[in-house]
Amino acid sequence: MAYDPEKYRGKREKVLGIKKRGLGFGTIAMVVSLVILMGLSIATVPQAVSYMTTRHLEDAIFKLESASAWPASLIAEINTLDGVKSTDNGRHPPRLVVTYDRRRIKIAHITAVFDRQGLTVTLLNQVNHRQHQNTLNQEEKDLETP
Amino acid sequence: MTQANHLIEVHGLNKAYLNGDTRVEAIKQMDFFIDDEEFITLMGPSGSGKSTLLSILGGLNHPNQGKVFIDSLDLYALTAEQRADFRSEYIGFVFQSFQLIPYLTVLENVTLPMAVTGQKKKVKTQMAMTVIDRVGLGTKALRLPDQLSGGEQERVAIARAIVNKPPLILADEPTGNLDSKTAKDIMILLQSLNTDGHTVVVVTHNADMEAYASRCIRVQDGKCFV
Repeated sequence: MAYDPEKYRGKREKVLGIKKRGLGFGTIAMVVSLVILMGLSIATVPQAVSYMTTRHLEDAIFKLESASAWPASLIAEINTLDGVKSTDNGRHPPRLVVTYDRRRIKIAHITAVFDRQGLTVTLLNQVNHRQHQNTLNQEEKDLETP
Repeated sequence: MTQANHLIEVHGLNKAYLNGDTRVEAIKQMDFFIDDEEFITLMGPSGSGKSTLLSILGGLNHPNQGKVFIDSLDLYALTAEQRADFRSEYIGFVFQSFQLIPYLTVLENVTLPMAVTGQKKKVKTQMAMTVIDRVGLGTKALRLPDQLSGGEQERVAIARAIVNKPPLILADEPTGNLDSKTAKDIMILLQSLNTDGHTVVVVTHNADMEAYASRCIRVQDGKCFV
């Protein structure tokens, strides 16, 4: 049969190194780099997202001086304020923790609600929300450890 | 790479050995070609240079002078690594003494040339079994070489030579150690491989083998007569 150079082109290219056998070093290096980057992303992206979404949040911790329990109507009113994320008075009953976005609401707007209801309230602390959460978590851990 | 007109082209080939102080001219100014899917016998008496020629065609033996083109590749202008790739891709060798590894089974012997191909074990086993079946030894795949007859061992050697699907089968006296009936069977097998598309070059000194080939190249005193 007459010789057709196209017939064995694939083999010829392998011999001449035009067509690579298996995976080249560059491909393997790229795959390994991608795996490492993905691993790092999985570890860091949720933390970064969490930071980005909570960096404007502050916790204001108030203590009720003039009554024994926080009126439900007051807590409901505070929760309706624009910029207030949540309220929590479950941990230490005489205290109320208001989580708010400092870009949208000032602490004076919250204290104005207490004044309107004729309650004597002391601002105990004003702290970054994440920092406060970390402190609470640490306290819980300390309590669990004998 | 030079565009050639034939699958194998040999131009102005010379090979000499030093035997002590004596220079032995094994091959003298050979020129010939072999086309794709030909069945060639290289025929000549002992010491005529035919085995030397076969080893040069297989990329195993540097000529002193001349060029060998296979599939347009200038075989001895390739680097050693490229020539090793060339042998793996293009050539299936069949030896007179079979050269099977005695402590490996038929299947393991046939799988051996695929060791560096990077294929999965399952695929390699499947390919090996296909060629073992092809040479008629499907039921003896798990036997050791010494549990086989000479003809069967030669069939294993042929299976090993074709497992990587090389275009070119080079056989050096494949029937030299066999009785005439078995030798005939082996030549029929090589003929059927040729029909399947392999180019076959068989070195022999047995004139009866010429009948199986499509063409005979005679070698005498280091010269060839096409």
